[in-house]
Amino acid sequence: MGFAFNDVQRALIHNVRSFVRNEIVPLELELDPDESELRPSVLDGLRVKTKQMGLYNLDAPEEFGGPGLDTVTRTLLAMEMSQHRAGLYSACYGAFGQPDMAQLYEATDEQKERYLHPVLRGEKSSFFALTEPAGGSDPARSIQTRAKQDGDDWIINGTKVFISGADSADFGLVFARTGDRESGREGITCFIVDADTPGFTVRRVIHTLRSGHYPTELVFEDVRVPGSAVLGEVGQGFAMASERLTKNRIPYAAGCIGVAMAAHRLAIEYAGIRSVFGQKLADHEGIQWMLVENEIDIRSAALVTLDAAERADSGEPFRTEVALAKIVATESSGRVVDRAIQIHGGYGVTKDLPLERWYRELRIRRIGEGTTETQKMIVSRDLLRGRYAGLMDR
Amino acid sequence: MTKAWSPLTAETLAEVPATVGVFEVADASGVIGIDYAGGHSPFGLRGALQVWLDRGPGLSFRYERTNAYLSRFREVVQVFVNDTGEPPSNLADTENLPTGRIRQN
Repeated sequence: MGFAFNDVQRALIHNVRSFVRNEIVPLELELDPDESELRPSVLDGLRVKTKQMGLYNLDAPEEFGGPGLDTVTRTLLAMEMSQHRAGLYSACYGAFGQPDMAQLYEATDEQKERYLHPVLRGEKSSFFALTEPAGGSDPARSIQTRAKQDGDDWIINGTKVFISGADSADFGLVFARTGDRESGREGITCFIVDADTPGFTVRRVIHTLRSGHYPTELVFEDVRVPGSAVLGEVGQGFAMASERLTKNRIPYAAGCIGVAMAAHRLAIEYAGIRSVFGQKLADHEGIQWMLVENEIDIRSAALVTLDAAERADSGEPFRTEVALAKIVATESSGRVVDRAIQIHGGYGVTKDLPLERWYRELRIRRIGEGTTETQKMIVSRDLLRGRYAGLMDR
Repeated sequence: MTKAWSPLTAETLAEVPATVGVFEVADASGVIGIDYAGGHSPFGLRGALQVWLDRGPGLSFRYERTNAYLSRFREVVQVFVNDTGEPPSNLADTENLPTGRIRQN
């Protein structure tokens, strides 16, 4: 473990930091405080700039037009990209491209032509439909959506919940059970479903404590898709989903750390200008200790998350490290923002500042992409079964 | 949105809360406006509806108080577009028209 940044990383961080502070933060002064989208024309302009920076489709490998960065570097950039009001979920409003489409890198040539390349060009968007009403933390057992073969076609029936972006996406990756219940994770297949397929319905937007985001409930009623809609192999869908969920927890953690850094910076600045009882806030020991606790939380979370990223780059198993990062980053960032609000007093809970939004959204992050408790279960299983070597034995 | 309509007058507007939320405005032809009072709206729903009252008499309105005003606004607009095939007139020429589809069943 060692995180001395190299020259390339320093330069990339500098460029992204300038982009966020000069291009993104000023835009937000005009937006509703809860908004997570920009007008298409504005977003297009931002994407021209990220393309000029060579950072469009940040997560894509070089062969698909991305910059081909390693996970550690992308994690560092995710920490920078999230340091604005909407950054926690909509880093720079998608100016750096759409979320990683790793599953489609393994698609057939025809599927790549029809789905992956338009996504990478910014012409199509997608959704990822795994979670169901019966549960999200244990998808292998809770998936009740079924797909039955009918000649060369498949017919999908079921319901999905908490699916982001499905109301405006062009297609989705839909996970359905193709084996019997006892087949567990081996009986789940991933299908590419076009949003205009008859029988597919976006039933409602699910309203949460996040206002500017749109998780939806989906219904599949006799949705017929051709055999060519299967992504990967029949029965191997869960392995695909599981790999994505594990990898996604790294940028998920990094986004939390980024807003914690931004909140910490706001708190330090405010403590230096606000006076109470004849002294600056910064001169009160109670405030000083809060700032130190913030620093401890941020550094701990960043180091654990970068360790997970380094492990992912090494080619070694990294499930345990990622679970630890997800726990530490989401929990500690929530504490940092909570302290930053406390330091700001009444102003901390107004929509004049981004703190109240981050406070609400960080609460969700202890649930999304696998709850804290599920992550603890992953770590404890690996510890108890001897799968995890431990920090000093790697 | 299924709440009862009220005539948009100074008296009825005085009863509207100064909170965030979504609202619809109608004239004799039907719904002509769907909008929200968000985090930047002075006096919340009351302030946002005041703009419509200032346009003149003959309008009616209904509203919902909700902290999820952006997602609810998106949903109400999407359902309207699905039902009528076009956006409400206040959003017809704007880049801010929510995209997407909700087909309620």
